[in-house]
Amino acid sequence: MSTDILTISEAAALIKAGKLSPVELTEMCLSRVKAFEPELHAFVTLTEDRARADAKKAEAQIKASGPTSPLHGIPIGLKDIIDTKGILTTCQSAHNIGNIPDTDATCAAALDAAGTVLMGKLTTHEFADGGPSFDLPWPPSRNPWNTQRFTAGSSSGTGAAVAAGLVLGGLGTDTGGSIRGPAALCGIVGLKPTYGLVSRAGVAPAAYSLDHIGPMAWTTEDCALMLQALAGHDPADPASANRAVPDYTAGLGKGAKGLKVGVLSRWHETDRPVAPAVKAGIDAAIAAYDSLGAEIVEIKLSAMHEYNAAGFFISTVERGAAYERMMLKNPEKFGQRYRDRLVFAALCTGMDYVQALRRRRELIAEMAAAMAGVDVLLTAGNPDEAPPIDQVPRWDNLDKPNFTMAFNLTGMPAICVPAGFGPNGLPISIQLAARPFAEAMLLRAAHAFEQATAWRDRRPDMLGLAKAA
Amino acid sequence: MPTPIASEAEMSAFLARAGFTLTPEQVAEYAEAYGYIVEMSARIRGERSYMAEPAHIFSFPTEESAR
Repeated sequence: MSTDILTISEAAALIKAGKLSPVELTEMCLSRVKAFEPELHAFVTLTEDRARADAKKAEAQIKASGPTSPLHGIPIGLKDIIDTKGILTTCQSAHNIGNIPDTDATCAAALDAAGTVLMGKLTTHEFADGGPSFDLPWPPSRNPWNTQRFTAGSSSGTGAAVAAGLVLGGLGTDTGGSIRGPAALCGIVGLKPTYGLVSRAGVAPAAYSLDHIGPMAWTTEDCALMLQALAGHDPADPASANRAVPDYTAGLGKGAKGLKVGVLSRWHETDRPVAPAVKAGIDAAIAAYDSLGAEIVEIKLSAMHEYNAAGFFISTVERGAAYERMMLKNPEKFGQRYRDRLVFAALCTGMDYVQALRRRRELIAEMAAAMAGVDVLLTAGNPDEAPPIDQVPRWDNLDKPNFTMAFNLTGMPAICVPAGFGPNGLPISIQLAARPFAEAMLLRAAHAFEQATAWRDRRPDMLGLAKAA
Repeated sequence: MPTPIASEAEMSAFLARAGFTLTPEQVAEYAEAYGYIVEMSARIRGERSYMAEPAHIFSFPTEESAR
């Protein structure tokens, strides 16, 4: 593991042993923010005073009675569509300038209750869709591996901040890949849980029936620790699942022996052929699972385009409904890329939406049947390394299917895990998915792969970044 | 490339119905995007079984307990 930037589990162990104080840890993160934020633009709002106050409070509590959770005293950040009491919550939009919520979102409150240190609110695409945008009140976040490259989105600030060690973990939201995309391009781990597992109450909607909240961190174990604090029923979220929360760390370290890994070759070989480095990463992952004693089987599903088409209409129309009033009243306040998405909603019909809902039922059944015979599915996270930030096509959600939407459409949990580097020195990723509420299995499989590789030992070249700044 | 659009008049009608006011130049900008939307609209059409009804709840047809 990298020794200059700690993971959550490493920091938690040191805090528990009395070898590291939350105040010290927070100051280390703040110093990295000062050094790298001018180039990364990972924060919309840095809550420096709040972070120091949280850290002092955690330190006092830990001195008095020890840590109450592995997150006690850990610096984190929240995507800026998550409400925070008394703290500016912009959704990266001119519509929300001056918006200061009077309550915390349930997920923000859960991390606060676990004793985390809030470092600030992290950059997103406007209302979590459509970026990168250069016509908003705040700039888009930059990729710490190369600041001329895209982070993906919309949890872009969380991806950048975690990769650069500005925070040890953060929250993202995911409607079509907005946790897993930035995780893949920024070289971190991002988990989209099962629909309904983590409360969406107090989080600005992107598309109601596709929205998920989840952890982003340097390692799989850190995501498991965060999910433990986030999962659970919340009556304030109408889609919240009411079921027992298991121990998400229980399977970590149990390896992959005996697991069945289903490979979706069609998606990355035919439907959207991936770059050679990504193909090599997937092949290496298959070989790693094989050597760990897993059984590899080929899985056949409908074309990725089928999942993406249904997801497009549901996502677009639900988004249009959520922001219709703003679009009618003040369309000029939106950036162009988000306004595009709302115009798309007007170009879809009611029949498109219902046909997409019906198609979703079929595709859920298809994927559930395929998953019944395996423990996890394996596919790509992103088709290539991060593109230049100024070369992201305007219709990027239309012309090619992505690898992530299928699991928003079906609600099944999925995780992106680093799987190497491409020819430009930028991260590439695999994606694993599992049955509904099988996050413990998903984390076990992801952890086994992570432990079998050395991809977590390499961080962005921060010294080079500092020189460039 | 996407399917050619039916007409910019069709797009303008949809946009007017939604209450969105766009200039002819802006409508023309969305023509390419609309072609993709028309293509995807065709993709989600087809014969569906009774079980494809969009039920009033979000559920997994074959939900299993996590292992």
